[in-house]
Amino acid sequence: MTLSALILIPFVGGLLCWQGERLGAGIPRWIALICMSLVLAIGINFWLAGDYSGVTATAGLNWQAEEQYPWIPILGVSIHFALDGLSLVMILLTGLLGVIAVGCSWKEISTNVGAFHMNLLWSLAGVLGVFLALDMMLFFFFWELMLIPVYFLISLWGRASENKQLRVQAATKFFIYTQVGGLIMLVGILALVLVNYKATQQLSFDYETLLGIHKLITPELQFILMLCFFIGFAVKLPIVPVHSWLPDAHAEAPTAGSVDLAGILLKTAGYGMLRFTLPFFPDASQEFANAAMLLGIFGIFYGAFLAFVQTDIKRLIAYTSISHMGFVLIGIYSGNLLTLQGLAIQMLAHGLCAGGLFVLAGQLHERLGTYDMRKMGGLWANYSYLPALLMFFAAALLGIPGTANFVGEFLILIGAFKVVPVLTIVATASLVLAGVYSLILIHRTLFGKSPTEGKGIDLSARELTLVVSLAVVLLVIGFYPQPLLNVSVEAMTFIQHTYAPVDVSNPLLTGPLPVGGSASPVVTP
Amino acid sequence: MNFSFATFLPLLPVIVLSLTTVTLMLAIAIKRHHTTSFWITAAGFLLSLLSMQYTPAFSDSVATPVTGLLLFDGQAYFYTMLILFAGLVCAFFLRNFIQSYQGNREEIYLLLLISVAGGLVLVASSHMASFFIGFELLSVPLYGMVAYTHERNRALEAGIKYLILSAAASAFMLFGMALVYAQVGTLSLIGLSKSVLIADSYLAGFGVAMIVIAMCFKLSLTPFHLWTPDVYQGAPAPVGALLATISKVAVFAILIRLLVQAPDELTHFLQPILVVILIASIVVGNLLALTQNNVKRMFAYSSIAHMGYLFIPLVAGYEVDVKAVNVYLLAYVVTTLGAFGAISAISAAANTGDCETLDNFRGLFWRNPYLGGAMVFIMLSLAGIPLTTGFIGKFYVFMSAVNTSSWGLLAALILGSGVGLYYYLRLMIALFSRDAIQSDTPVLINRSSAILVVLMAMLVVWLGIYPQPSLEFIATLK
Repeated sequence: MTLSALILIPFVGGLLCWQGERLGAGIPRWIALICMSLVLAIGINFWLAGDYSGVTATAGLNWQAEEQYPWIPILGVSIHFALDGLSLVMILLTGLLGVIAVGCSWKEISTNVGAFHMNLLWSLAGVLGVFLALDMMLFFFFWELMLIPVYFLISLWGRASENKQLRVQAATKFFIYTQVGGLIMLVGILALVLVNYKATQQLSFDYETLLGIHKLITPELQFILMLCFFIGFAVKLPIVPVHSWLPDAHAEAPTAGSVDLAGILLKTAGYGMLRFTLPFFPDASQEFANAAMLLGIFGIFYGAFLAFVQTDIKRLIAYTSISHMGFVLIGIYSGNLLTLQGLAIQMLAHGLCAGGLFVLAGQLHERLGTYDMRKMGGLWANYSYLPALLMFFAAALLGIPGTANFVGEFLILIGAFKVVPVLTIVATASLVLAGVYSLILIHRTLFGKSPTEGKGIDLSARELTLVVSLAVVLLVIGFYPQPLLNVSVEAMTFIQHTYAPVDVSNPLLTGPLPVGGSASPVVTP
Repeated sequence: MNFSFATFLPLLPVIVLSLTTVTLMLAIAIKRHHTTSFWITAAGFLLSLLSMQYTPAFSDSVATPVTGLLLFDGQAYFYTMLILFAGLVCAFFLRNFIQSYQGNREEIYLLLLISVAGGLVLVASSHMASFFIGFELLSVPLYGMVAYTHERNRALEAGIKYLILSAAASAFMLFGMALVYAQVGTLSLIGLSKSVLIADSYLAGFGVAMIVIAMCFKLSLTPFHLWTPDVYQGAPAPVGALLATISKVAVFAILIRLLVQAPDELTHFLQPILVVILIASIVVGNLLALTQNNVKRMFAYSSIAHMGYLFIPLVAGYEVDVKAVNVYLLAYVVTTLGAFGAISAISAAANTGDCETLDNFRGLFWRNPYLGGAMVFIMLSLAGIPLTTGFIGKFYVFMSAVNTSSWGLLAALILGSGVGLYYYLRLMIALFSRDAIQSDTPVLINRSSAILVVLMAMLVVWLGIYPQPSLEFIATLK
């Protein structure tokens, strides 16, 4: 029941927000805040109650919680939710950023507050569904459903510029890109299901049933179907040839929409690749790994270079997302436990860091009325907290030690080095570029001469709480990532075993892995 | 052959409908009264729907022939139900629309009843004769209905255009039938399937092709689609709904029967041609819909694309996937009724034109949240987004194409859907526009039509979230 509740709470909460507006504009905000706090609380409860590091050795699927209800038996579709460490990490992220997203739109949104929060909560409900669904049809439902509210968020509450058409165009572009990607993935899903049907005369969309199907498919078809899944996720991640919706969508979205997009929605793609693409098509994925990693490298540099030349702060952050997602791709396709564990951290860290930056960008916009960095500058002099926090998040973005981003990138690079040393060295070089775009961000906004005179209004307690809490989480994970690694280790071990049954990896150590599990020296005193 | 009451029992829905037509005609002759005429029509549709459960094919799911002309099987009853349902809904829209009309209002119900009766005959026909009778009975009243509000220039133009082009299609069809008869020596579709063909049966093959072309015309597939936007635009909105649902469903039903019954030798060479036609329809329909500012024209082009999607299960892998077609048709009918219903809810016959431009829909959500909200779901369903019945339909089409490994068709379907999103979203977001509305015709919302549109939207969502009952029903059809 708890897993359904995770999805139902934001869904029902959304309806309440919509109707609650009649009672006053403040009501929807509180309802939304309570709903997302509840989701976060349930997530934390799962964390504390569950045992995620126990059965590392078996490398099997071990759901901490599972629920199944019939839905469309004639198609073999059921409502099947389950939760393991990987889902839990994502749900914690969703809960936390959900709270932040509600908090950061407290002042920004003043029209149709109820409908806004309904869309926000429904998109989060869709994301939670994606992280929990174990039935491919159900997964696809949620995958598509989370887009519609985001479309409305961007097109109706987006940036108030002279030309309203712009944000509608950005929203439409986003929707069409992701929809087409989704449909291509649907082809892959259906082909898997039909192969299974021809083998067993049983229509089933269940994840565990479909896991072994790749053994029945010819390598060529397997490769095509893997590509179908890959494209579907690549559009959302996004990977460079299919990324062009992202900067537009971010530039036009309201702050909460950006937090939602960068922090959570992009992670659904990484999650999807880990959960579905690799286990469904291990052989084809290995065959494709080099190409994927090259795409990743290209994305890292492309994103970094373009981030450097942006003048719009939100577009800059958007391009850094593209750059970071390149690391994610390399991590996924290197496929040893180190990189996979690094991925969990990296996705979390990037979500929090990009979320924080977007919140700060929104706060800057509330004060200065612009996202244009050419009109900023000299903020050090005018504000007391905001510049320091912006500095911190920019530093986190470039991955300095002590932040979670460093842990994630470090693990990914160290793991990938054994598999693809040359690519890894090239990727490491890009960290210099990360430094460059982070510094240019700080330089343009914080230093120089301020175009406005006098001190601005500093962050309110609400704004400060939001950003500082994100910063604290980043720091805590950065200094002590072990608890988090322990949560995801089991799920990642399973993925690693299906992807590369012989552990080609484990590059630097021969003993038990120090990246989580009960064997970890950090846990056993 | 012995005729008894039981022989004609399967024909009950058609009989009820015909009796209603006669009753209505008499009622009009005695005294013209709009409301009475409407209720007689609605009662006729309802009775006809209810009478279906007394028919043997429906209750025992046995295919029962009525003479050599008609064959009632589960499929035929499914289409009968769809057509009667669409007729009933259209009658309601028509009533609210035509109420303000200055001239005679009652005859349009007569035309509606006759047209629907023609549709019912068409879906059950198993003989070229009944096929042709049904085909014409369906079309001829439609000419009248399209041009019913003849004070509007566009309506008259549309009526005449439809009449002339339909006549050409009918001529094609008759000639095709003659060619088939010349070689096979039977007019019965069942007989056609049993006929032994000599090796090179070009004549009969050509005949079947001509019949299929005539049907492609009615289904407005590229390159026979040129009439569609003009006729949809000119026809009053409720009649547009009729054109887009009943006439499409009925023709599709008989097309399936023809393709299933005709021996492979006759249809095999048609497949590549149909593939070209369907891809062209998807491309042309979607591309031309992109720039339309007139919602009716947009729906017209989008219906061309939808017919293209519908052809995929028909031709993929040289096999007709009837189940997928049925699921898609169900989704298409419910959604299209809602879409045209929305136009008709904000239009009235007394005005010089329907409220059919994008501007008329701008900000509709703020003026009437229920109608606006319903439109959102209807648009999502047309675009095939999950949560709506449109997705379930598209899902079956995908399954059919994947099952037969028709990757080319899948590519067309995916690209078409992607392009289609653009114009559906354009209309959807216009509903929320806050800009001032400038328009010649005032937008008044007819309350009962709006309620019906909301009901359609609820049906769209219900069939999309919980499709199990409808899918089960379609799976049991024989």
